[in-house]
Amino acid sequence: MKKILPALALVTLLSGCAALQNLTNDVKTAYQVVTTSAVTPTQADVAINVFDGVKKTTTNYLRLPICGKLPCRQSAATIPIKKAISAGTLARNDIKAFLRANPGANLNIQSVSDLQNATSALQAIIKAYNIN
Amino acid sequence: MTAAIQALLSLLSLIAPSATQQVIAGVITTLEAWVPVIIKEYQDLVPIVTNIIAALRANGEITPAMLDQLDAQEAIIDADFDAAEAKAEADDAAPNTNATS
Repeated sequence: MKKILPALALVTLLSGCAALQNLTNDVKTAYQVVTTSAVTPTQADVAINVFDGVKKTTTNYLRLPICGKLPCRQSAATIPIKKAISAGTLARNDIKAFLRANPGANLNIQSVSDLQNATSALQAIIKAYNIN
Repeated sequence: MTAAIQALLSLLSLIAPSATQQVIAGVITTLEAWVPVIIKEYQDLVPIVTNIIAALRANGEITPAMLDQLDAQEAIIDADFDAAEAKAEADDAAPNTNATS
């Protein structure tokens, strides 16, 4: 039994290493996808469309009066919304300019990630402030 | 509101991928007439406008000059967003006169 326990531990350890190796491989694969994959113009258009949607929603929120009477908005949301909209609009316009200059060409995924980050930020704000 | 919706609906029926340059030009002319009105009076219709613009951009028949015209319309929409942000910031800085007491 004393000999079996260390063996079991070793097997567990090795299987843990295998799992770790698999995880490492998965991360490497994901990293390669992120760093080497291209985004098609259609995918870019979808990203733009999603951003424009959340931009519209959050801007409508900014049109509400500051809380005191309903419906209202939290003034703490103004700057985060503005920052995300500014960053996203800049990224969106860059993508549009690329698509216009290079019709049908794929984009580097990095060029779309800024737009996606801004979209995610706005979606988080929508959730945090219960904007609908 | 009804007239604006009807105008947009008439455009939606025209923006098929097979639309010719002549049709696209007509759609853009209609957008140029309606975008300022929609921004001012019918904010709920703005997403429809942006979708029409996106569909036109994807049309293979569209010319650089037409793209410039669409850019101008989107700039008007963006300027309206910017104005809303600026007003919100100004309101935040001012004393809150909306509070109940």
